Amino acid sequence: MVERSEISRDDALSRPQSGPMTASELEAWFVREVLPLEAQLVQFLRRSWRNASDIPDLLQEVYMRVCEAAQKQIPVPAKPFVFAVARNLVIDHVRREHVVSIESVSDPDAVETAAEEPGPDRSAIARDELRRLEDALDRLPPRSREAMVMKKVDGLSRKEIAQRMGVTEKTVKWHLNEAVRALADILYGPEGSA
Amino acid sequence: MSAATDIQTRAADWLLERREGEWNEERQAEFDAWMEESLAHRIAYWRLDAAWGRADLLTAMRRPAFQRRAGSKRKTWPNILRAVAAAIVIGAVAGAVQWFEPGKTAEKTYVTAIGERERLTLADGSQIELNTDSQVRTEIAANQRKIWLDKGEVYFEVKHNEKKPFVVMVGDHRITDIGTKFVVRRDRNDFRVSVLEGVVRLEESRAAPKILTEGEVAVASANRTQIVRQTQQELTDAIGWQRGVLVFDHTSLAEVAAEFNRYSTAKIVIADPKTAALTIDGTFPSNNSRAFMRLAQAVLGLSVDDRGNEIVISK
Repeated sequence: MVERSEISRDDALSRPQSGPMTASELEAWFVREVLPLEAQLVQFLRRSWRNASDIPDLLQEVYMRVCEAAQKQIPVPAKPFVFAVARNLVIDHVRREHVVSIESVSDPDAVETAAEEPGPDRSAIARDELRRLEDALDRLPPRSREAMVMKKVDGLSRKEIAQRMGVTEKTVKWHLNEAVRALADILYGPEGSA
Repeated sequence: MSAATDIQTRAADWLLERREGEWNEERQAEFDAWMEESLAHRIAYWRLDAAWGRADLLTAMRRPAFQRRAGSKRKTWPNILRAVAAAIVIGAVAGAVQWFEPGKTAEKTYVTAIGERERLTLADGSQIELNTDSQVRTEIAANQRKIWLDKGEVYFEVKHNEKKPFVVMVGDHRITDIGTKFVVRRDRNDFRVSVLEGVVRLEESRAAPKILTEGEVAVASANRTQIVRQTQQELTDAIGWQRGVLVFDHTSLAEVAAEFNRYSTAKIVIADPKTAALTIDGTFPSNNSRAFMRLAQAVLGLSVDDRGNEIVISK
């Protein structure tokens, strides 16, 4: 019988497995294997699709298709599969909408699918991560950054933030909402890795 | 706004709301339903949650807002009567008089499990909040209000009533109050009283009565009581538990572990004294020692061995 602790679950996920996944297994896989590809994925979509305002919807659709497939069978490795899905999606849209020519779909094989290089040591990762986060903070809209620092770094409640910023709680809620979304875009999107 | 952006906005709202204090079963059910509704919802939530979780590392950037030692007056009381049960009487200038049914007594016990906290309004209108793993018994009578702090930590916001003293018993020790905001924390036979608001009088059989003003903390152990003055920031940090956070400022990892262990059945064990002496700054959710350990692992380069009910950390 297999012990089911969090650690053994992570181990289990790093090798190919069949059978349906639970929602939390799917989440763990998605966060670990798919999200780190977002920067390259967005770059690929931008090259392949003229209308920039469609990119968030296209990205969501790629993620949907990838996760739907992964629910049945986890693709190992994830990267070629994710980009194949993205390419097929773009082709589908091109056919359906006749907006752009098929030539505008760039060669997804050009997106390198090389194996991961051996990782640097742990403290270097932590330093890099902290630098990346500080960098991400700098890129947030100023008011959102202010609200987020009070929330995340100082651990203040929404009410306390509202008092300190001299705005309503509703405004704080909006600033924080914007901060959460912008943070994800910066950490996972191409802007962050620039 | 695109459909995907709409979903992200909703997901971000959920994410933030779940981290605010007013989360309850009803909201959880609504959140579950929203997540269940579509895979797109789940993916959007997972993505934002992952990003927000990564930003936990930012808590490590928190700068101390004050210098702990500088400007703090420290008075030590001599040990006058060793091993004599000390009676501490805290009195304050009384305010409004409350009406109570004469002779009526109601005894109640309130308990919080590890990781829980609970805010209550007593029959006399006073408010108390129990921190993790705490127990009090209350007895509201016509001429006296009595609370036994059996274990743990409790915040008191006492409704003034000069005719009806508010008594807190800590073992053999006796704390009487007639109206203010203060916190009593008990660790077996040691306890501390922190005054957040108002002026209180403190009497012990082993020492002369003292006036404790706002910002003063009496730290009592078996044979002596110290009075320490704390800044507003220190006081606010110390009651961070009321908003679900622990605040550390140059705190040793040993103390940090002891604090987290109050809130969790999974206990952090530090393998060696060198690791125990590392210091931590920052604000962390009190109910997630594993998240803290992951952070310590990343920032301090510690190795963490999670054995379920025991999390062993070493250099």
